Amino acid sequence: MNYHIVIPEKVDNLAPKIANLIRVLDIPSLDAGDSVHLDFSHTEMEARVYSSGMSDKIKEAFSKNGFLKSVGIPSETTDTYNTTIPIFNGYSQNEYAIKAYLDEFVFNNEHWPRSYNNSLFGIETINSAIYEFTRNVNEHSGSNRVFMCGQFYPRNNNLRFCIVDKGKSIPFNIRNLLPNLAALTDCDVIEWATGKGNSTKPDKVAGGVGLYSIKQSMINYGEVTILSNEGLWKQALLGGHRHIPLTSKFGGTIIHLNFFLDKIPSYMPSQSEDATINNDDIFF
Amino acid sequence: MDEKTLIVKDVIQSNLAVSPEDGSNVFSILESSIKQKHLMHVDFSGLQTVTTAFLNAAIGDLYANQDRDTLNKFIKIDGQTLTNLQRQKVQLVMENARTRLSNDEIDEEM
Repeated sequence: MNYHIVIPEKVDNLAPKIANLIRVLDIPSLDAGDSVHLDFSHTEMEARVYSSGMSDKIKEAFSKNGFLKSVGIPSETTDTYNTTIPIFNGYSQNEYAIKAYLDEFVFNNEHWPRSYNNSLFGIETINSAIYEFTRNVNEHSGSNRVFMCGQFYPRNNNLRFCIVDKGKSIPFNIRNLLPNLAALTDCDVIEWATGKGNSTKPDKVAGGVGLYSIKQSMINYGEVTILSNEGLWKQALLGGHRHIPLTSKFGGTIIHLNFFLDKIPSYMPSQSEDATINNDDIFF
Repeated sequence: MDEKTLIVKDVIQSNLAVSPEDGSNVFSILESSIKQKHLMHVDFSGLQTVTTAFLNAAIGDLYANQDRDTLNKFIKIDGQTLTNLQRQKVQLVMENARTRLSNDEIDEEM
């Protein structure tokens, strides 16, 4: 005998009702070969999230940036100093939503340096790093959803910003596509991914400069940390790299950018200050 | 030789040159221009942000289909319309595209 039971669209307090359903079906009396198909395809699932063990400091930060509320945990903490950049939860390829978010919560925040208002350089430096990462998520992680948040630290003149995806981690993705790198540690794989011209794309397709470009553009302006799978890679302000193997796995990638706002010039460096050599006739 | 100007901001209708899809639109115009043997000036003015993903699709991929002399003859990027950071990215993408293509040519020869 085959039983096909369609579960209704709305089911509150699901667990006891399923238990009751199983009791009503009298599962033990089913004969060998019988099948019971519980069809949840029409059902809206209501997940409940509980938290435990969170320190007061973390709870306060998660409350201020809206994280707790976004996962259904009630919280009420006022951001007295307006330093928090709230959670962004959206599509990595939606550059207009990302622009609106950055414009509203970063570049119009009271802690964004007023001296930058006459120049786009500070905005460009920060935008550039963030868009490079969000495009990277879209191209490589297999996920098109990205989460972002951040905070201004006015005393230190820092802007710390975090970009997270829950797609394929960098080590997983690279090892999967380039088996010759399988022996590298997760930290070494991340290091490889940030190298100039290193890409999982075939040679005839242009690529492999996104992460390299970000790490180069952050030297002297801030720090970059990439955490993916069991590896943590960090680039310091002056460009030195540090590898920290992790004891637990994160199935995705976390990028942390720490901008030293007082080190980013408020003016646009002129072309004459460009130390790179133009070695192609295509420019004029 | 006919000369034209491609204003990137007008083609992508945005001041954010970030997506490879927008880059592909620019690529198509440049490739078509080369086929018609027109000299195309590329103007990047008015762009707030340019990503390497956009530039790879717009310019980098040209190196897979065209030799360097052809690109130099028919495409001129107006460096004055780029910010310093954008200029560094354009140069990086061009250098990288040439390197990757030459790697591919070496692989094929071997």
